[in-house]
Amino acid sequence: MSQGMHLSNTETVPGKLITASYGLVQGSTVRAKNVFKDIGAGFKNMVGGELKAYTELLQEARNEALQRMMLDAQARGANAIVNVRFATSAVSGGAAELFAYGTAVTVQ
Amino acid sequence: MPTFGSWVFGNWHQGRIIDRLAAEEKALNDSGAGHPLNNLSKPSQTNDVESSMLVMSGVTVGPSWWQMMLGGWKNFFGGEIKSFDKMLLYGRRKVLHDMRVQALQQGFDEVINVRVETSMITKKSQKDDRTAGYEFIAYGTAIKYSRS
Repeated sequence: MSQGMHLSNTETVPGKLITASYGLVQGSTVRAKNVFKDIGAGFKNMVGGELKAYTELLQEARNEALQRMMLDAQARGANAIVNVRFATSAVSGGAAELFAYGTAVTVQ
Repeated sequence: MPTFGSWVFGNWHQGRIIDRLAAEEKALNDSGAGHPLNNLSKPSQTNDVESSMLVMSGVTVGPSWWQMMLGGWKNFFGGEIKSFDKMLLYGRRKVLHDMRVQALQQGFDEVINVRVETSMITKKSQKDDRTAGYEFIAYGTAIKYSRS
């Protein structure tokens, strides 16, 4: 919740009233999901289990997508985003786009 | 030989992390901690809401080379690919457990509208059959009711 912006994945921000709506806002990052930074990560797939390098990489990417979405909403004068959804889609070349979208609103 | 090593160490390592997660879940349940996660679309109580926040947790898991090989064979014959199940079930459980721990630690009363999504990590090239991973994310709206 940076810049004092409320985020919610429900239709409203619980406990608050929506007074204005500014339409759909979005933020996205494209990351090369299948580029291992080091040999160690390649070996990790040998035994399976949690791929920590990816977990951190994708977490950063998701936060970045959220930040961009919040900037988009702020530019429209909103102070909250409701019905936040995430989507991941494959882009050619083996990269993936992490996409966050929602409806920018003003709440009181 | 590496594939044999993958079978031995893969089973051992994955068994270990699954047991560790089961132990963490049991410890949390035994301590009487609540179950704040739900997928209701509105707060479940009529009390006033003091604050709310979007919370997320994510994990990426992968099967071992041996499991991928088994999966490849099974693909030929069709049917349930049990070898992949192990890590996928673990991923989903881990992500929900992490969110539950996060909500309890930050003092939230409940987390509503919890959604869990999966996405697949693509291979480096057509011929690459050694890279596979699945990302699980869980996200929801955490709520704190006012104490009056």
